[in-house]
Amino acid sequence: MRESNTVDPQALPKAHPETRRRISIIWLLPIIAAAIGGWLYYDSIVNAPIKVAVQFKTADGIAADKTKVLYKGLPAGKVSEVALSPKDDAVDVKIEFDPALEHLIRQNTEFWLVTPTVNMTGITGLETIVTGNYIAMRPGDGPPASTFKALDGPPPLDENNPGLHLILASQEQPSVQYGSPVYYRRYEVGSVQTLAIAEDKQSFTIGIHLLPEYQNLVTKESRFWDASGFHVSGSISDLNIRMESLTAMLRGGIAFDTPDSGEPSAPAENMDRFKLYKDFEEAQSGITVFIRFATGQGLKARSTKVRFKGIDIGVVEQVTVLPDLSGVTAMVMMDPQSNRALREGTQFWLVSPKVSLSEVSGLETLVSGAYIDMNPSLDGKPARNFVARSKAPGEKADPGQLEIILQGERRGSLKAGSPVYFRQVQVGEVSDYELASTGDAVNIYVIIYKKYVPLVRENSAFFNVSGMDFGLFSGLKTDSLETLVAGGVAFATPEGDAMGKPAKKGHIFQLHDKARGTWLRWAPQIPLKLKKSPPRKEFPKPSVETSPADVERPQP
Amino acid sequence: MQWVSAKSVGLTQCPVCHKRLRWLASSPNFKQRCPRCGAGVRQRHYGSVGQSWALTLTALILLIPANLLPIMTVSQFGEGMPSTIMGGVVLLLHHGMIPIALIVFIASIAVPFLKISGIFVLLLSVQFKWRISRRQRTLMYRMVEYIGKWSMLDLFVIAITAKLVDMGKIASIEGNAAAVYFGLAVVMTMLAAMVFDQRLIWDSSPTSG
Repeated sequence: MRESNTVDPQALPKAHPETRRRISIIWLLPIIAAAIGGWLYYDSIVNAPIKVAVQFKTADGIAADKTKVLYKGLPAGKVSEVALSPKDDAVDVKIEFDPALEHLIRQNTEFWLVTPTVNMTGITGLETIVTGNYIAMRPGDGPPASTFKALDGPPPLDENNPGLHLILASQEQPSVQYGSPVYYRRYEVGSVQTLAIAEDKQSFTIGIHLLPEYQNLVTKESRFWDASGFHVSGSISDLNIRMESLTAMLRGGIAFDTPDSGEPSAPAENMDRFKLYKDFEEAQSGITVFIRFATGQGLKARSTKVRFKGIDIGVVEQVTVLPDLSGVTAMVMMDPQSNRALREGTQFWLVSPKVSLSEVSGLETLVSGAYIDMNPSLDGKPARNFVARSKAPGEKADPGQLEIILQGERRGSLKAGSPVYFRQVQVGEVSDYELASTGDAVNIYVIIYKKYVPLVRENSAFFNVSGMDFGLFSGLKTDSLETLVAGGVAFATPEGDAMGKPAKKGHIFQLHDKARGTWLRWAPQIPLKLKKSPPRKEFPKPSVETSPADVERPQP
Repeated sequence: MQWVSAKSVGLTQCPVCHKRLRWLASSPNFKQRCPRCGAGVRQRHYGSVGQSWALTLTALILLIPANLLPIMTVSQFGEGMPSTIMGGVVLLLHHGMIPIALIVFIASIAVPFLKISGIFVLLLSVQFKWRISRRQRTLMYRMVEYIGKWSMLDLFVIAITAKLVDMGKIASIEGNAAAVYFGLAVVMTMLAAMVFDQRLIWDSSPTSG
C-alpha cells in the first residue's frame, strides 16, 4: 500500500485515449441506396423487354420510340429502332415487348401495320388518326422467336376460328376490303378477311368468314356476288336497279344466296372455293355457257336473253369474235336451274324480229331485242359449248314426233317453219333444209307432230303446194293465202294395204312438184289418238253438185 | 496572410447562437454545451467527414437510377413516351428550345454532379490533407451549399406541370420513378454539404495560405 504512494505519477504510462472508430449509423444510407440500385438493376435484367426484329417492306408510318404494338387494343410493346435491313430490300423494325407477354411472341405470331384508311367505301383504322399508326399483332404458336416478317395487311382469320372460312374467286377486284360485310338477304353474317391477287395473276381471291351461327346458310350450291354500290342494268324495256343496302353501297360487301334447286345440297366446308359473281343478276344466272353463232348480229352483251318457253333463263354476258373470224362466241350466263337441260343436243338459235310476206314473227323482239331461244335436250352428256342453229328448228323437240326427210328437185319457197298439210290441216312443219350431199337434190327436213305421226306411211306421197298451181287441184284445195306465199308441203297416204308400214324416223320421201293422179282422192282410214275429235259421220251425198257461189253471185 | 485559428488558442463558437466560447480542452470526453442557448458545442466535428462521405455516396448511387429511369411522361392525344432527364433535354433541343434545355441540363444534370464532385474534393482534401488553397475550398463549400437547393428545380417543374397539364386524353404530364431517386439524391447532397464541418478545411495545412 505504501508503495503506491511513492509512485511518481509522471513515470506512469499514459492511458491511450480511445479513438472512437464506431461506424456511424449514417453509413446505412449508402447501403440502402446501393441495395435499391442493385434491386433496380436486377429488375431491369429479369424484366428486360423482349427484343424482337420484325421485317417490314417499308418504314412508312413507323417511327422509333413512337409506334406502338397493340394487342387487343392494349399496348404490348413499342418500336425502339427502325433501320434498313442490311440483307434484304426491307426495313428492320426492332420492337421491345413487355416480358409478361413472352407467351404471345412465338414463331407464328403475325405482325402488320394498321394505318387509317378513308375512302368512299369505308373508314377503317380511325383510331390511328389520334394515336398514330400502330402495329397490330396476332399471337401464334410454336417455339419462341425473335425475328419475324410483317404481313402486308391484317391476316385472315385463323382457319381454326369458329365459323366458316370460304375463298371466293373474282375476275376483277370487287369493291370490298378487309372487314367488309358479307350479307345474307341483307343481313350481315360475316366479313371479308383477305383480298389478294390469285397466284395465276388472272383473278382475285377473297377470303371470307362467316360467323358460326350462320355457317349452315352456305351450301355447295350457294352463289356469292359483289353487293357493293348499286347496279343499273338492262334496256329500256327491262330497266333493273338493284341495291343491296345503303351500308353495302358505301362500304362494299358481298352477298350470297342459296338457290333452291329442289334437291338438298351438301353444306359448304371450310376453305371451299366459290366464284364471286359481279352482281346479283350474274349470280342468279350462274352457269357459263358458250354458244357459237355465225354472226354477232342481234347479240348484245348483258342484254340479249336466253329464253325457254318465254321465260328468261340466261343472259349473254359477252360476245367475242372467234380467232379464225368465222363467227362469234357468246358467253351466256344460264340460270342454275337450266343445268339439267345443258346437254349435248340442246339447240340454241337467235330469234329476231322478222317481217316478211309470209309472216310477222318475233314481234316481241322489236321491243325487247333479239333473244336466244332454246330447245332443250334431256339426253346426252352435260355440255357447256354449243353451236347455235341459224334458224329455229321448228317445233320444239318432242319425243313422239317423227322426223323425216323429203328429197326434191328444188326448195321452192319452203323454209324452216313452212307447214306440212294433210287434208289441209297442218300436221307438221319444215324444220330445215339443205342440199343433198351429192348436190343434185334438196333435203327438206320435216317434223310431223306426235299426234299425226300415224298418217305418214312408207307409201305416202309428198308434194309441194307452194306457188300458184294450187288452184289446179280440186279435192285438196290449197286455197289459203298462207301457202300461196309461204309455201308448204302436203302429203297424201293411199288407202288400205297400199299405204305400207308406218314411216320410221329419218325415212326419205320423194318430194313431188305437184299432186299426181288420184292422190287427192285418197282417203285412208287411220286411227288417230284424238280424244275429243268425233270420228267421220256418213252424210247423204247431194245428187247435184252446185256451187253456192254461182247462185248467190249478183248479176252485174 | 497570417492568421490564427480559434482552435489553436483554445476557443470555439456556438454553432447556433454563434456565442464565442472557451474550449475546455481538459475534458474532451464530456459533451460541452453553449451556456446561452444550450446547443452542443464542438471545436471540430471529426465525424462529419465520415457522415458526409456516406451521404455523398448515397447521392451518387441514387443518381444512377435517377438518370437511367424515365423521370416524366408527356402524353399528347394518349400518345406518350416516358423520357429520362437526358432524353428530355435532347427532346427540348430538338424542339429548338435551347434556353430551356440549357436550364434543365444545368439544374438537373450539371449541378448535381458538380456538387457531388465538389463535396468529394472537399472530403478528399480533408481526409488526405491535400495542400490546396483553403480559402478557395471554403468558397467552393459555400457555393456547393448555396446551389444545392436549386437542383430541386427540376422536380418542381415536374410537380407543377403534372398538376397544370392534366387534360385527360388530350395532354397530360406525369412523373415517373426517377423523380423519386432524383429528389432523394438532391436531398442527400444537401445533407452531405450541411453535415460537413467546413472548419476542418482550415486544420489541414496550418502554414499554407
